[in-house]
Order: sequence, then structure tokens, then C-alpha cells
Amino acid sequence: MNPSPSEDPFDPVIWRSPAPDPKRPILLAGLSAFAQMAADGELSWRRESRGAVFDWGGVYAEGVRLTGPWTVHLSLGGRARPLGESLVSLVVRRSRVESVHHLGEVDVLQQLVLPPEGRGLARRFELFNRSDRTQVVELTSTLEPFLSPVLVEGIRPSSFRVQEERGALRARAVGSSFRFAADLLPSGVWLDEAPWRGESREGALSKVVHRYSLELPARDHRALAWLLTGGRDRRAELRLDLPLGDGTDPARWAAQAAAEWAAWTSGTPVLSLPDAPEVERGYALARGALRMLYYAPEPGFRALQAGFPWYAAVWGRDLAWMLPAVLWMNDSGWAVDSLRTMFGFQAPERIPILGAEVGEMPMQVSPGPILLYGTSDTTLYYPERLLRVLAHGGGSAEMLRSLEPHLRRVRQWIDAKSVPESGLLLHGGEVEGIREATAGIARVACGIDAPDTTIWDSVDRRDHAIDVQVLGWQAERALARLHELLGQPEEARVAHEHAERLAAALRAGYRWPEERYLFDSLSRSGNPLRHVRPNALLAVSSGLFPEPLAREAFQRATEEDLSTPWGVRTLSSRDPEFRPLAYHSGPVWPIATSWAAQAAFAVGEPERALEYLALMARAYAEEGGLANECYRGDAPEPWNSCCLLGFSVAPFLTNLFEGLFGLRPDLTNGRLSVRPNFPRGWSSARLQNVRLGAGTLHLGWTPEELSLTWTGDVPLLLEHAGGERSIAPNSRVRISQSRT
Amino acid sequence: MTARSFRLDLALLREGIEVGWEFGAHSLVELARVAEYIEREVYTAGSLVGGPGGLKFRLGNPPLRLGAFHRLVVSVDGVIVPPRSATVSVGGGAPRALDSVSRSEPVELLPGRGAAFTVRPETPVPVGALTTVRLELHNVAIPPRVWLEIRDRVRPEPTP
Repeated sequence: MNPSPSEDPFDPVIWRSPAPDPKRPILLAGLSAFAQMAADGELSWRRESRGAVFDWGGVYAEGVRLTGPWTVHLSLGGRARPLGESLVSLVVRRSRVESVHHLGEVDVLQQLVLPPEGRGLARRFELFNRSDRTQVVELTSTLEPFLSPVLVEGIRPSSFRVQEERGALRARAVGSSFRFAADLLPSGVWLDEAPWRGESREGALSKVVHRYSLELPARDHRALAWLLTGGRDRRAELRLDLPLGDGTDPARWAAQAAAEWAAWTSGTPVLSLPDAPEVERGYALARGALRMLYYAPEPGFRALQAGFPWYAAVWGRDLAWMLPAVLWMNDSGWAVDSLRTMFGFQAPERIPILGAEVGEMPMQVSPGPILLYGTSDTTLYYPERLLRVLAHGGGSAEMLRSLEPHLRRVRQWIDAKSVPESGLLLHGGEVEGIREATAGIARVACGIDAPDTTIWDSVDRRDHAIDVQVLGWQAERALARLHELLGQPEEARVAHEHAERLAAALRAGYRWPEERYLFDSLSRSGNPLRHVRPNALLAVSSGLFPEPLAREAFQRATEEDLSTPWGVRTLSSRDPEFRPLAYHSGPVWPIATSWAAQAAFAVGEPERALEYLALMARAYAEEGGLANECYRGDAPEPWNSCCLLGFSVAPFLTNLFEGLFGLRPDLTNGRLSVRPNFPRGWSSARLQNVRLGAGTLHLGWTPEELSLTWTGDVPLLLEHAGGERSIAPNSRVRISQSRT
Repeated sequence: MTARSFRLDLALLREGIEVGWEFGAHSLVELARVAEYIEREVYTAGSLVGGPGGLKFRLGNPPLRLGAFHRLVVSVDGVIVPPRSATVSVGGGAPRALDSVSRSEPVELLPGRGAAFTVRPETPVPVGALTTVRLELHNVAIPPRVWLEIRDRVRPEPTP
């Protein structure tokens, strides 16, 4: 028996296991729910996190971890065996997971799929009796109720309320609930060790056990399906009662999920890199991984989650890194909705208890909404992301006008952070602000003493980290352009002046000749922080520094103290503060690797860029279409790492479009810059179905010729290495590379 | 991704009227619920007791961060208790003196797995005193210190 052997090019098999591999993470993700499991067919995945091993397996929905591990035991006339031990085949697609298990003369097919309407997981078993006699299989489900907001790390409720609800079990805690339903009656249900017959019960609860006895006639089969759904209780009541009666629904849902994946994938650009098949495969895997993070838990709330499993919420900074890739996936509508969602949570005034300053964009938002602020940089991303959406042909003039008040608040936030003497942006102390606002009032208080909140927020990089200044420069430039588009020349002039001032301050203050690099930060008094970190690469790729210096800085970053065979470290291994296991003080982060690739393209070293991208692509393949958050700084092993982080895939995708193919659209001006950066020796490359506004672009490249086909209804002015030329609506142009 | 998964002071969230004003009453309800949840599930209410063996208190869950901790520091009313004079017992296991905790032998605090602390301050705290106990935890994988402060009245230790 083989589970669904046929291959679907738009929902392909991304992982196959012929034997149980309980350490390998497997994910199923939908727009408001996901299931964390392992490659043995179980919803149990023990993973080191924060230095300790914990089981992250289970079902999550609407920002709530519904269950802890949910395991199955099978028994055929004897000892019960864990499902995972009997696995002979596991097949993973983005839309579903199927596993085959052998239990003596009984074959078991398990299918897992996320119901399209419900917030949870359907788990269906089909048991085939290969023998000539009747067999009785006992199948036991054991799940640990969890019911805790994902963002509240490390806490599980001490008490649960359980009740019977139309033949199903409902468990509640902390304003959330789940419902466990089956299409067969169990032979028994136990709450911990006590039999349960449907009575309401409240108190501690560590496991819910359902047992089924299935009689299988000779050469016959039977099926059993479970549906576990839930989320925030306020809305859960309205939605959880999905049909589950005839045992066929999960199969229908699987087909529907497969069709949805296929529809989405077939609408994305097609990339062909005959000279780098590994990177081409990486594109397909990163694209699917990014799509898993799309998030729409309730009406009016659309964005992307940061990662799985423990960062399953919208984080403003992470979303900002994902939005460019979302645009390149032809999803400008999703990008627009994401911007509207996030600007909707911009702080209109100071909210000290949440760490918000006027104009600040949220650090984190979960359904509820539950929201927090207090980062050094999140707000700085958003003007550029808004401009980028417009430049891509997404959004509209009306959208821009509606967001204009939000841009003014961003201006306020930036102005409050700017140091008048230097023009640099100040950061740090955000958490102290919350402590001061709340000191002495609570009976029980807790917190984390993070002195600084840049992208590496477990380390102190005060007062003027280089990446924060680059972001500030980009934000000011974007604000200048956005105000131009709004017909506000005075605001545009101010933003432009601020950008110039920041650029001058960066060029004057951050050069580090002894190291042939750029300082990581400056103190307010101007003293440099002499740490070699990858953040300086963002300055390299920004074009702020002249080429010799930028090239030299990039070369420095390629040395083995920062660049390893498995990616780029967060801190040089030669630094006295290097700690290979300390989150931001040495571990390798794929996002840093993507910065290196971006910088390599910027300084004209596409071969090096491809080396970085290839190692990322290899990791996607080895990780079964997922992408770790980070790895040890001294070995290529995940450490304290989510198994999928948007940070780790989105910039890779963006690099392919903007670095390798060199695409920079500016549809606000009717222009498209195309400056491919293919390595020497490559023979061809192709990119099809890139949507820009109302048109679609197809691009083909050989060393001799660049050809572009444009289906839009307006002309585009092409900027290429040899100059400029117009491409008319519905036409094709060929640009000789020899002349450029 | 950031190191700080959650870092709020707790009871003050209930005062966040402006949050409800700006983002809707649902938001206020949810934030308050989360605050209450943390307060209720981290420190076991009323577990601060005093007796001949010193002060004892219990946690039902780790405060804000799970994981392995290589250093734990307890202070009582602002005075640090020497690590040899404090113990922690995780999940009902044997008590460990805090001076035995290290990177190679950290203390693991995990969701739903309680921890019981016994501390012997150099100046004993009388039963009935309103006392502030502060616990600081240093994680092996994420540097910033996590802290928990409990302000509670010391109850008499129940007789066995």
C-alpha cells in the first residue's frame, strides 16, 4: 500500500521517510492553524529550545496552542505499540501528510490534513486486514490539553474545564477551547486515569485518552477519523462544529487543500536556473515554506506569522522582512492587507505599559488582539515596505492617502529617536521604559532585562547600531518619495534632508580601517563598538559606501570567523564575546547568510552570492522544505531554533529576484530596472510570470541576450546596463548583452 | 526573531484603558486575561511560607521563558541570599543548592512543571511580614536575565 503515489507538480512531495525519524520536524500549516509533528507520523516532536528539551508537538490555532503532544498506540492482540514505531513510509506535501504503518497483518494508513474552514486538524486512519481471519485492533489516542496563548512562552494552565458537547469532548482554559470529535464511538474515555462518561469536570488534567476497538473482517478494511478544532473561545463556538460523520471528510479536505496549494503555486513566478538546479529547487522549497506562514486568523487580520512553532504570531520586524518576497510571489494583495493590518496597530499615542511610543509599529500582534511594542527598528521598515508595494504596482493612490496619517506618526517616532547633534537614531532602553511604567504596582511581576532591542535583541548594541541607521536612511528616503506622491513637497524635502544627514553620518562615523570593515555601532559620544557582525553588510548592500570600501567590507565578511560552511555567524568567532550557543553572539542565522548574498550581488560578486544562496538551498532540502531559525556557531546543528522562520526563507527569495535577476520595479514612475547578476560561465536563466501591477513580465537571459516580454497595458521604461529603452504594452524586447 | 517573547508587567495591564480605547474592548479583555493568566500560573498564590527551614515558595510554570538556566539568584527584600543557602526542586525532584547550578548542570524549567524554592536569608523573615522575593534566572541560550518579583505576606508553614 502506497499513500498517494501520484506526483502533483504544484503540490509535490517535499519529504519522504522510509523509517521513523522522531527528531525530524514535520509541519502542516493553514491560514489560522498548524500542526507540529515528527517524521514518525506522531504529533510529538521533542526539540531543544532555550537549552532544554521540550515536546512541541500538537495542534495550534488562532494563536493558541490547543494541545501538547497527541500520540497514538496500536494494539493487535497484545502489547500496545506507539504508532511511530510501526512506520514504514511517510510522505509529506504542503497540503497533507500521509503515513503507512505495519502492525502484523494489518496495514494502517494515516492521513493528516487541516480542515479548510475549521481551526484544527483532521486525523484519519484506514486499517486494512491482509489476513484470512478477523482481527481486532485497539487504537488509543492520548493527547495533552495545553490551551495557552503561543506568545506566552513556557506556561501551561493548571486547570481545565471539560464537558461533553453533542458527543464530543470540549476542553476549556484561559479563554480558549478545543473540541475533540470522532466518527466512531470510543470504547472508553479517560481523563488522566479516571473514566469519563461525559460529566463536566474542572481541575488539573495532563492527558485525555480515547480508546477504540476496531473489528476487521478478513481481507477487509475500516476507517476512523478524528477532528480536533479550537481557538479563542469567543469565536470558537460559532465555528467548530464541522461535519464529521461518514469518515470521508478528511479525504475531501485533503483534495481541497491540495487544490488550494496548486492554485497558489501555479500563480507564482516560474524560475529556471539550468546552471544551478540546487538553487532552483531551493526556490520551490522556500516559496512553499513562505506560503505556510500566511496568516488570516480573523476578519481584517491578514499578515504572515514569524515562524513555527514558538513564534507563531505576527512580529512586525519579521513581517517586514517577508513582505518583499510576498510581492515577488505575485501576492501584492496579501502585502497590502498585511500593511493595513500592521498600520492598524500603530500606536497613535504613548502606551507605556505596552512599551509604545507615538507612531510606533508593533513588535508583535496575536489574535485578540494581543499586542506589544518596544523595538528599536520595527517602525523604520514600514515606509520602505509601503513604497515597495506601490512600486510593484500594488495598492492604490487611495490606499496611500488613507495611510498618510500613519506616515506622519512614523515621522514623529523617528524625530523622537533622532539625536540633533549627529542626526543618528538612538535606540535602547525600551524595556526599562516598561519597567518604569509598571514598577511597584503588581503583586507578581516578571520581565526580561533586554537593554536593547535591535534585530539581535539579546545583546547590547547601543547607542547607534549600523543597521538601525541604514534602516533609518531607507525610511527617510521612502518617506520623501511617499510625500512626493502625496503632493507634499515640504514633508518630502524634510525627509530628504534627514536621509542626507544620516547618510553623511554613516559615511563619516562607521569606517573601521584596521579591520577593513564597518563598526557595529557607536556610543552616543561617538566611541565605536568594535565587533565584526554581519549587520554591516546591510550598509554594504545599501550603496551608501563607495565601491572600494564596500567591496573590502564584503571580503572581510567572507573570512571564516564570520562565514562558515553552514552560513554566516552573528558575531566573529575571533571576538572575545563570541559564544557559539548564545542566540545573537555567535550562532549562524540564515538571515545573516542572505545579507551576505545580497552584499555580494551589490559589490558585483555573483559567484560568492550563489555560494551563500546554494548553502541555504541545501539546508531547505535537507530540512524537508523547512528552514531553521539558527544554528550553533561552532557546528551545523540547529540550536534554540524554530524549525521554520520566515526570516530564513523570504530574503533568499528576494535575493533571487532582486540580486540574481536584478529586478527593481518602480511603477510609480513607470520604470523597471533590470540588471542581472549571473555568475561567469552560466549559460542561461529564465523567469516567467512575474506580475507587476496589471501586467506580467517574462524574462530570459543568455550571455548574449536579455529578452523581456511585457503584457501590461502601459509602457515600461526599462533601465539596463546599457542604458534605457521603452517596452510597449504586449510586446517583447531583446537587449544584446554584448552591447551592454 | 527577538529574544523577548513576552515582557510585560502584569497587573498594570488591567489599567490599560487606553488600549481598549485605541484597539477595542476585545483587545483590553484579551490583554487583561493574559496578564491574569501569567500572574496566576507562574507564582502559586499563597505559597510563600516561613518556618524553621527558611522561606519557601512555589512556581507552577517558568516565568516568561522556558529552558535551561545556568544561574539562579534569589533575593529577599533586596538582599541576595547566598546560593548555598537556597535550593530548588523541579517537578518534585530532589532539592538542589543553587551553588550547584552551572552551564554543564543547569536547572530545566518547563511548562506545567512546577518548581519549589527554599531560601534561608541571613536575616530571618518573620511570619506575617509583607515580603518581596526576587528570582533572577540566566538562560544558557539567551543572555538577558529573566526576573520574577513576588510581593506577598509570609504565611506560617503548615505542620506536616
